[in-house]
Amino acid sequence: MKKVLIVDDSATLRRIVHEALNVFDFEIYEAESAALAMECLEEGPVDLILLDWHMPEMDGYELFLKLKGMEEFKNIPVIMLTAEDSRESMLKAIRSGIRHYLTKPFTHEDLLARIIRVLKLNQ
Amino acid sequence: MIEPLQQYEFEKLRDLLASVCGIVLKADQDYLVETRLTELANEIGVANFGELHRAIIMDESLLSQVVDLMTTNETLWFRDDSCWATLEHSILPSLIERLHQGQRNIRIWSAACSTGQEPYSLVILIREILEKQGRPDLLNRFELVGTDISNAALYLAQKGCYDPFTISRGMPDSRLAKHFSSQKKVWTISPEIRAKVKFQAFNLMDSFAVLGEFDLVLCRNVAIYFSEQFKKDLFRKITGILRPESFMLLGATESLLGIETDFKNMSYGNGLYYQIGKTKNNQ
Repeated sequence: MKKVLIVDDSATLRRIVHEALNVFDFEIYEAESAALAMECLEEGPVDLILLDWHMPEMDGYELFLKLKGMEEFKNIPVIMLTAEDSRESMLKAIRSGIRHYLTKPFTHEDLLARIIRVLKLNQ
Repeated sequence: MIEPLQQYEFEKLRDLLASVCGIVLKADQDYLVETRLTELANEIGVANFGELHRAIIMDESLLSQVVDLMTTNETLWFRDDSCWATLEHSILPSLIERLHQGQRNIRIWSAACSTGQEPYSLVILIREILEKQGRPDLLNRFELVGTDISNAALYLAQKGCYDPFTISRGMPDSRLAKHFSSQKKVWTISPEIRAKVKFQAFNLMDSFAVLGEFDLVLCRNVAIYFSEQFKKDLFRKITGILRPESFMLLGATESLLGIETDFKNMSYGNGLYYQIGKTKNNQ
């Protein structure tokens, strides 16, 4: 069973994304901050992280860079789900290795399609 | 990791997307190409976007993935009231009448079905009309084909499972209770309805001949992404696969205005639809 971690400081967003992911047979974890995401990952790696950019204290992009520098987590694919829609931010994220970048409000169809693609669920 | 997109590479990819896929990109949308296609480029192991351009030309399967990544999937249940009123009160009764008059089957194509909401909505409506007429058995004589270029969208369509937010976008409670089952806040369409739709991956740039002939084509909110030439080719190809006096539906904001076709403009209330004549001239 694939494990997916949703990291977003908005409980509403986490719930909506969690419910969207329920159409798959995933083990789903939630974290409301980068620190709690790290705690979750220390319990064991996941197959995919859905990451918000703007969060208090450490933001999503910083968390991604931190994970990228850690041997055990550097290969976990990350999809950014964010209201941050400047072309500079999008390019910075993708050039750093974020797999996909969806700006809020994204469609559920697009989110699930990207997840299927990254986890190769249809192969 | 692939090198950042250069201006000349963007122009080559933009021209390719326009000529081969009919996708029109503006001059300042270079970031869209880079942000959406980087993962694919890294996956196939090219060093720069010039190499990706060459790879797409050499390998047609990449083209579908590019179109999938460059366009947005979005769909609703019973999208646009006027369209569904037109189907319920004008087009579907006319098609059902053909069965009564001895036509063997009715074939319907949902041309860009995304995650399945359009063809499933259609099966639900047909089933309801036939039940009202006391002829639920006639559902067996309907064949529905749902195509999309996105394999991921089709994977979801075939599953027929939807989250509460997706369900809330147009599915009335009465139909939800009748045609879906629910477990852990996931709504699954009834096996009978799911079995009525045959899903297959299909690129609208390809020949339509492989799909067979149809009595109704729903091509809603598809052409909006594409160039004028693509639209002309699209409607000409649809004309070619329609049985005589058959129908086409476009999105609520779309029309054939300015495009020469064999279609007659028809209307029901506020809904526009198109019908082909007994003979076709422009194929």
